[in-house]
Amino acid sequence: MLIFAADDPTAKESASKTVRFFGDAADYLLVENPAKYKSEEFMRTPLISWLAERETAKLRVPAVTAITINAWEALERKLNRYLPLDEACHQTGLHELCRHELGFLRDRFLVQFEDLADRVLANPALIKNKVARLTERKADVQDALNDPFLIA
Amino acid sequence: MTKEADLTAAKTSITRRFIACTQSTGRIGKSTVAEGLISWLRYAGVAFVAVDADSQHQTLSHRYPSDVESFDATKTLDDFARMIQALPDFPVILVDFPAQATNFLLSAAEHFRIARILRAFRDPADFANFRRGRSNCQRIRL
Repeated sequence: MLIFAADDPTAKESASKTVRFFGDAADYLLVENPAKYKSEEFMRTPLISWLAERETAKLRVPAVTAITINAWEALERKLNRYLPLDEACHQTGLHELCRHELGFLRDRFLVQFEDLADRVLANPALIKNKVARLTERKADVQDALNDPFLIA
Repeated sequence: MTKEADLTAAKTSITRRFIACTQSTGRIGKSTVAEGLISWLRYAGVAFVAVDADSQHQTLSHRYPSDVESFDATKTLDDFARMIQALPDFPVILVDFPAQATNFLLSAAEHFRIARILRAFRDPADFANFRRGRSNCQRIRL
């Protein structure tokens, strides 16, 4: 069950009812969408403590500006067809910044869901194609005495 | 058996995942997360079935017509039963429910003893019995 963190009382009540009903019969994934909750109130509820005791995994939805979402929907209307996220990322009809923002959204989903594969799939071995990840470049050790740009 | 051993046994008995996007508020990100999950499942090459039960928006079924079936399972218990019975044996089944559907879903889950069935899935022996009994399950297209 996906439980969405939210300030909204209706959403909190709904999450609570769902967890009370299913209890340990279901696995949960806590979805944090920073665009949809502004306070830490939800994180202070006993529900969060209950989920934390069960080591419930978290998924964070990357923020996407309304401008990009509107541009995506406007392009769909213009083309008179719906565009899946994968396709929207590469649409030249969208401004480059919008494409990058949607590409980031997609990439963050791919990485996070792969990291949470044991919660999303019955068997992570089902994954046929893994996400290519960037390796962070190690910072060069600063050595002024042997800096190739400074040695005469 | 220790709690850890119980959990390990439970995990090995799981053969597929039913993922429900449900919460009684709109515009909270349910369809966005479902869309992200579909993107990853397609990318990862994992077989899945997705049902767009949000008849008002139908974002998923419009954007992924070949992967997502549209079906409003939250009108009557009969609709809910039809959906559950029609779900094929895929490793992942994703259902995007509409907002305000929690009460209906929980009453349907109670009616069909879904929590009890899920608990049975936690025990390999009970799960095997459940599987054997399932052969009478009639499948109908949504």
